[in-house]
Amino acid sequence: MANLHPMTRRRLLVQGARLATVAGAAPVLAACSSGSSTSVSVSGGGKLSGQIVMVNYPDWIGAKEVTDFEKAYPGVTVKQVAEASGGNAAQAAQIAQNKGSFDMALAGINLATQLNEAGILQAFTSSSVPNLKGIPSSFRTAYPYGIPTDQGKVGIAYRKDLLPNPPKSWAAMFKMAPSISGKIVFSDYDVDIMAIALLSLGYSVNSTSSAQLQQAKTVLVDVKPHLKAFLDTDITKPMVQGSAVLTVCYDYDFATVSPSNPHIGWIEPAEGMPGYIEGWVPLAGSSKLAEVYAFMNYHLRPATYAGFIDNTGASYLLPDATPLITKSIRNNVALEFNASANVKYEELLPAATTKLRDEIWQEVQAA
Amino acid sequence: MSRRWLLTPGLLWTAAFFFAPLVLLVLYSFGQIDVITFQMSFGWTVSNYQQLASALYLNAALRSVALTVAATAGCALLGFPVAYTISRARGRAQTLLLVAVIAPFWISFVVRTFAWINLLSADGLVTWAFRMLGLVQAHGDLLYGQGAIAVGMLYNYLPLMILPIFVVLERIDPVLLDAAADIGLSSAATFRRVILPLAAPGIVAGCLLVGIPATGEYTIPAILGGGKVLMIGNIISDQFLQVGNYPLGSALAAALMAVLVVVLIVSRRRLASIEDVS
Repeated sequence: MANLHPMTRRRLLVQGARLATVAGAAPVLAACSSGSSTSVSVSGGGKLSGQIVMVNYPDWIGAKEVTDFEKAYPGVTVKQVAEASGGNAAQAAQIAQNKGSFDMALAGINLATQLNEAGILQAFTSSSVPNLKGIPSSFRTAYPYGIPTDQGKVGIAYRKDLLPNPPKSWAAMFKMAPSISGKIVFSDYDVDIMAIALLSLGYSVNSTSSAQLQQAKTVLVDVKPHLKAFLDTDITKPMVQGSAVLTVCYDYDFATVSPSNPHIGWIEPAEGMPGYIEGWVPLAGSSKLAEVYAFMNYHLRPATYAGFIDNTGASYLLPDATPLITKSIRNNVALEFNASANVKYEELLPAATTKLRDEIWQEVQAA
Repeated sequence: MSRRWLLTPGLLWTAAFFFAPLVLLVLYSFGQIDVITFQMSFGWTVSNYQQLASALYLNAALRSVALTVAATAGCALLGFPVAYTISRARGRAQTLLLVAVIAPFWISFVVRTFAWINLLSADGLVTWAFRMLGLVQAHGDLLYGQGAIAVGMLYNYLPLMILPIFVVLERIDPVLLDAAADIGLSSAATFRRVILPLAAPGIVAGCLLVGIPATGEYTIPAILGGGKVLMIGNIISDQFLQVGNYPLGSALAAALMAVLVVVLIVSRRRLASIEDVS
């Protein structure tokens, strides 16, 4: 059962006054961003100043995005701080322990929900980011805490030459595992792997049912002897080298190797693809909210956004940017824009379920 | 000014950045946390320690101990001949050999471990050699499993075994070896009755230097284990970084530390007795 935590409103009154300032600037920002010419942006940029501190993955931004934004908004600078590696907990701790030091952050939907629950997010005013209208409403609804920037979908990559009859569903893949034993690589992200096991059984990726999770554990324990590895880096390398024939990985993992390896194919399993949306969120305690919204709006200009996608190779969410995005990305079967793709978005689950899933995952690893 | 005041900066540093975090760790191990909001509550519960008795954690601990013992024994077996060779070398040759042992430390531990992925992968040099011997199938590799972890631990910890053994071997007076020859001891008997007893303090020190960090090792299993081998260090890391369950992670870390402290104390006493005999 889906279990998205509702957005809390406990900070809304406190932030009201601050947001009112931003609301006043919103028409100016809208004017800045509605056109694509730099001159319009500069005219609005005169009211903005100071440094935005953004927590971000290293280089997870357009190659010239920051410099172009700083030119468009003289007086505003962007400092990027590397997001903690290790997982959601490490990233949440980094932001929570430095509350007030950062103005905005890149956050997957789970991390964003977690930060919101902890009162670390600034309430997001979508009207302050006019270019947000270019993102289809389904993505905006799924990511209410800021601007959605990209998504990741888990599917099946396989060697066409070594696996002529690949599975078309997660259930078929688990059934096939003994016949390709030792040549299967899974992602080392527990949430995704639990999700594909749940999907193969016909359950929701966000199941909180103990019985369903235990069934998923049985599926994973049964398949584990046939796995080569759970990997989080170079996940497709064994498949490229031929020591694996099937890899459960993200769309961008496939897209990275597919151009130079035409014998690698991609399958979107019938039950759907577990996925996430990530985006930029404003953080509580920021005194640069107007500048943050200006940066968000700038990010969603089609040309800027195309630069972001070209640099990151992520699955994109802004259809207007399609013609500007590198052909190898926009035509990639895993990354091409498809608002109706059967993606099952993973959500932050209650604490008890999170602990139970963690125990189950460790039991799978220890099995 | 008394000389004791010179200790103050070091003591303050140790208190602030070593003992205080340790105390915090132990305090956290008696608390509970909401893994969604990260709100800690200190009800002084021992439930985190009670969880350690579960089969999951005990098995992971046993696996860690088994791999540590194997890696330590392997390091001792491989390291002793190397240390002996270096101790017998003289002048520039000895310097070069020592640099060869120490040089890997100039490279990051993680980078060194990642290098083994290339060596053990399907296209890697080590895999190629095994394939030539018919021990690995076409397209096969040597990655991901307890074997790869053992290789990674042997490689990374070997210098920590070689250096203390080298130090004690270097101190052996050649007169003792001459005396052993004079009384007609064979090379094997000289090794067993003279060299090995005198080298014992170095071997014990090497075993401690290798065994203690190896027990809590999580980088090597994470990189070379392919996520299929769960060691106690990986569980601790997951609790802190992935789940955010600091109290359980703290309890695991505190328990592991307590066990290692006991091992260290016992080993120190054993080492002292060996040195007295020597």
